[in-house]
Amino acid sequence: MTFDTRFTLTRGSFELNVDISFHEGEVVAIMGPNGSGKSTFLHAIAGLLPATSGSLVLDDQTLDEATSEVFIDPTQRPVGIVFQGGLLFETMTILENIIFGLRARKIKRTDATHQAQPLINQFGLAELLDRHPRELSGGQAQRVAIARALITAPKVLLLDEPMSGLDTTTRQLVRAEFREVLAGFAGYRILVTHDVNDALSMADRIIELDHGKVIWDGSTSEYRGKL
Amino acid sequence: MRQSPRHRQKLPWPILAIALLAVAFILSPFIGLLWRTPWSKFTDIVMKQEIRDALWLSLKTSLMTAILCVIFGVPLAWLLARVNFPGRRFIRALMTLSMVLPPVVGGIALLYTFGRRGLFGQYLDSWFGIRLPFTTTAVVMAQCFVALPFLVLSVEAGLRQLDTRFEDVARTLGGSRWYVFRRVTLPSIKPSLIAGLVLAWARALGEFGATITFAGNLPGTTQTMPLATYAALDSNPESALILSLVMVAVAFSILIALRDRWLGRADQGLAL
Repeated sequence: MTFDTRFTLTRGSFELNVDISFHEGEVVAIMGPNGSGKSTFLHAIAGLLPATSGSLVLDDQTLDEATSEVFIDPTQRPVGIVFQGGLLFETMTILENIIFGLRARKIKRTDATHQAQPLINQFGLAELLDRHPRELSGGQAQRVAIARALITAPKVLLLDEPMSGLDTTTRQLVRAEFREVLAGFAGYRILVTHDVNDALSMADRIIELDHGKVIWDGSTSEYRGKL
Repeated sequence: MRQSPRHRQKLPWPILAIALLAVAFILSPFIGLLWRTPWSKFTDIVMKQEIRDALWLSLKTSLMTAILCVIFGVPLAWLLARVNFPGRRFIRALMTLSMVLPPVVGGIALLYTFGRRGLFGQYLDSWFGIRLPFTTTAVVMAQCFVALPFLVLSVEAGLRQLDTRFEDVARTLGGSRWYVFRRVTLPSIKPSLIAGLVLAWARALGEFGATITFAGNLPGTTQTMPLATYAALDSNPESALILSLVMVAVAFSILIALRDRWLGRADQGLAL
């Protein structure tokens, strides 16, 4: 099974032009400086921006095809995102954050809470459920954000700069934790980062973007050799 | 660098003196109002039918205006903040214009648009028999005209401060646009919404120029508190004083009630 992303996306004067196939089970890091197109790429996968031409095909489901005007709405895509800093909903409790994806699908609160138990236990969040995001440490917030993203059982997990904004010590811990999370997730795992160390320590394959184009695509060991 | 306590104690006297003058200027009219209020006649005057009518009309219309401003203003603010469409700058300029425009000009504009011989008014009259000027509806229209921009610009500012990625995440988690707006966006911008609401409501409560021009000054129908106060100044200055005091009390108590709960933080929405 593969996730084929072969498309261009134009935003103003910027054009992203990629042809990348992801394989189930591999952890891929998308690297590049600010403005390289990382964020646009992520938006296209999540369905927050439509492709200008080309297509995105996940397994045998077409997510976005410019010519046939197929476009699966972000609410219907099996894609989970974890943004930098977690971006938890500040006005909700931790539990409400975790079960948001189920509540949005009109699942009753009690049923949703029950359904969330395995994830709550897996990430050790039971003690935090009644708290609010501002009371959490950076590492805790990240764990909640991952649980929130996984609750809808996505096939693709996108991590957008999950490590930036954390101090060095927390970073080490969270990195180890992320490796564990990524190891426990069976689908397509894509990590967007501008940090070489994050990419090297967590990914199997590294793709480098610059000015909207792929300038490197290879295994992490090959990339390490290049450095 | 931390300043030493000694240094901090040294007050900048000239600035302080000027600032105190400003405070005195704002404060002294209130003291003058309290000083001259004929307290012995307070109950008699407040209990008068026409005064109670005016107070009730003011509360009713300003509340109606506040509700209408939320219903129409929030979607408009969302469009201005989130969607890049042609004419966006024009609409924002229009909002600011009606905010800085002398309200009497707004009243004249409304009269020549919705009046019996106005642009739309003539058809409302001849087709449906609807005559808006000099009705309570006209009072609400005049108030909405001057108050709506306060709500729109406040909510828009709140929306702009909110990271759109919160909404993005909520969308990828399966939230429909409406669900995301209700559960994520709206609670996050609550301080701006409340601030805008209070500003719009206060503006509506104090509305004078547009109301007297478009809705007239008919006791019981269009004579709101500010109009009644102005009318009383000629015939019965004591009533005018007491009416002013009642308006100060109403405005002040609502501001105080809301301040601690929602408007305490100056960094959220508009600082009140």
